[in-house]
Amino acid sequence: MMNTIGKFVDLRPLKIEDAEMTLRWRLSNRANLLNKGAESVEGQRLWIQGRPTSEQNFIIELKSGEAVGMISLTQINTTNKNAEAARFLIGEESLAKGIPVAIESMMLLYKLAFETLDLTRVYGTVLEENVPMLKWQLFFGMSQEGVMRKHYFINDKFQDAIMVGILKEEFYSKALPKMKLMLR
Amino acid sequence: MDFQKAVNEIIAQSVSSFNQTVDADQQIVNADSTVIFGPGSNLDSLGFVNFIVTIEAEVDTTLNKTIFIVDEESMEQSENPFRTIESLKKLLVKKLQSH
Repeated sequence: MMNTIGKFVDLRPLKIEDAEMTLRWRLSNRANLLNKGAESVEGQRLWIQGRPTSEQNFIIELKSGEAVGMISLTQINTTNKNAEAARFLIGEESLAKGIPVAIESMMLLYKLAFETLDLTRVYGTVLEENVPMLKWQLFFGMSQEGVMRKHYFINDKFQDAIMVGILKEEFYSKALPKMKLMLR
Repeated sequence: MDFQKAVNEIIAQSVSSFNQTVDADQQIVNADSTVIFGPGSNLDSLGFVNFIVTIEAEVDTTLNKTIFIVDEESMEQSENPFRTIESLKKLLVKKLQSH
């Protein structure tokens, strides 16, 4: 897995040494609408170590080299040519302010999926409570494809998972033009 | 129709609605000089997009018009129309006038 280079950020592969930092992000308030993960640094190390080859997990780095978040492409299926965009988290909010970190990170992930891996479809799920993320995904060309009722047990209650997805042609016609405009 | 007045009200309502959805350190002030995109902004790009979506929804609700704030036409402006509240207001007035 190689680094993916952008104008404002780069994506570099997640390493075991990132365990402490990524655990801190995952335990922050910002991540309270994501699936729960490891609860100790050792647990996070083991989780990173155990990532299967069907996943590509990245740390989002500013050009200064500072790590500000993470993003992943999981469930990569080369037969059906699809994958899930997941674990999208800006952990260092203060460093990301004023920089289109999330936009470029998502664009780089889509380019990896649709160009490098030649996939046809990228999909994901958004917790029903995570309205800002749902608005974000729809704004950048994903379509709402369905609802998995009471799919997650997060924040002490069962919640629906909103299913979203984008096809390769929609990436080029809807998402990429908008992303490029905002990255000028 | 006085589009400038309408836009001022739409932005005020959108800022209020947006601020109710984010933590205190990510809230924005409804002032022309407030930077909303790029260096000096209090918003990250997730926040910025949500603010734009909030404005589009407010235009739809208030004026029954569907506009798309981020498009090729927007980027043809001489200054970045997303930089401040003031530049965004100018863009909105222009879009509504030509809608």
